[in-house]
Amino acid sequence: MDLTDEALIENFRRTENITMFQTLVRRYQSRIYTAAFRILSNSEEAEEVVQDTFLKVHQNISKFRQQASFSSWVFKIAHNQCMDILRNRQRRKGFRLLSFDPQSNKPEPTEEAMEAYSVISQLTDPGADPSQSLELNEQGKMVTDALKQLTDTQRTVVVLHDIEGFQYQEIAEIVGTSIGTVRSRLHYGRIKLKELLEPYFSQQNMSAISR
Amino acid sequence: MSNDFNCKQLEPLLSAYHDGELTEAERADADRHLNGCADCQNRLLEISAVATSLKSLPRLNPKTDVAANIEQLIANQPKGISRIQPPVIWGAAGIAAAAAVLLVAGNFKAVTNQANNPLTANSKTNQVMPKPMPNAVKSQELEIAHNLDTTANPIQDFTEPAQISAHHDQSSAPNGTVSKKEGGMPTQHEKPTTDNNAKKNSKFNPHLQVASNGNEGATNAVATNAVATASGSQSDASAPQLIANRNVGTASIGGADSSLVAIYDTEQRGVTEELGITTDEDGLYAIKL
Repeated sequence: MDLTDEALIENFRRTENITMFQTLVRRYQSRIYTAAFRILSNSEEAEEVVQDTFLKVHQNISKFRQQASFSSWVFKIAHNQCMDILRNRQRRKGFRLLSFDPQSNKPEPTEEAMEAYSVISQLTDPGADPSQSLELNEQGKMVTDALKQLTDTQRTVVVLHDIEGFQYQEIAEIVGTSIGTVRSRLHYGRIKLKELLEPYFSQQNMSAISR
Repeated sequence: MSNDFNCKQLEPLLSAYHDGELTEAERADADRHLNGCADCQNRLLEISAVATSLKSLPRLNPKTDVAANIEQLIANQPKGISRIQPPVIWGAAGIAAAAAVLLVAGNFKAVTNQANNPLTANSKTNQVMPKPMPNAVKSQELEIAHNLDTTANPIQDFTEPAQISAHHDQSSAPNGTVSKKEGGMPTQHEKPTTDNNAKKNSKFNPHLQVASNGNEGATNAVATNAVATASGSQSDASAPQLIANRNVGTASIGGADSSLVAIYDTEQRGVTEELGITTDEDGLYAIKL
């Protein structure tokens, strides 16, 4: 029988047998990578998140208290890594926009321009992995592109709930907010996705009816 | 008593309804409304379709098998950590130093009641904790040291500034000790008043003199500047708090009941939060005491 996460941690703390830790990593690396890739839309950064997350887990394993589940704890660390990357992106983006043409007399970029820049930069993300996108069917591509257009906070909650299967309470702990905020972000994230996917859904309905 | 929802009230709860995350009472109300409202039923179906389409996205695998490489990654990690961590330790030490100097400078009387060698006096920790200090302030200052290193005896931290400064000061005695000429201590009968505390501190407190001699590095800068202000602004009655600005080359400490500004800089994110230090968007570091 497979050991639970908590039993693996306990064993690893006691024996320092790296195999125990490797088992934990193997159990979570795909989940962390998938969540990070969905949140960041960049495979290189998602790989970084996976590595850094498990290094942090290893460094702080003595601080893990079993009141929280290991999965929430490890995802909280991964979430923090993702937020750091997103914050750095925002800073770089602001810098790029501001330094685009310092001699120009043109007015500062409007909010619409900023939004458009954000969407374009996400869709033309150099870190997006073409081999991963080839695996997706048409619906998968539509959903993936729609997901990119949510706000970072909505997308994070949607990924944690609908892709990773966390409960509202666990998500609140992972992202450090209230259950009410999780409920709201998830709902309005889904509503936005519904609007973005509406053409696809109605097309599906039409083909279902015509069959 | 039940309070049935209308469409507008139910709409924001539909996702939670779909996920089984409503309270029993909310769910009962939602059920009653949904039974008679085709629009809300359709909205619920749409939400369900979105959730299903997200669940159908495939699980992805990283190119690198982290599990296979984790041992190597861990083995490579300590070097990186040791390069990054010292500034944090020194930053913490700098603040501990400033806090310690504040404690000593603000409580001159207690120091003067000790033996002539102040470092020896400091080692008698329960005696160094000065009686005249208001309890509230004392606990806040202890908390600074405690926050900086929860494993360390906070009182031991109070001996840091003199030792650190002495190590950096080429002219001071080796091993962090202070020569007697710097420590012209007043007799036990002396009772400095509030008005002349500053003068007497700068004259008699060896911690102040050692710190001002050893002005090398950020840690010393903190101690030196902090002392300078501590001895000059004892009457400042603002609330005790510690604010450090990475861009400002000076720092000041008020008296036991005034503000402290110190240099604090580190690139190690996360550790500062553990120390109770936060930054605002202007790069200001703040510690709430």
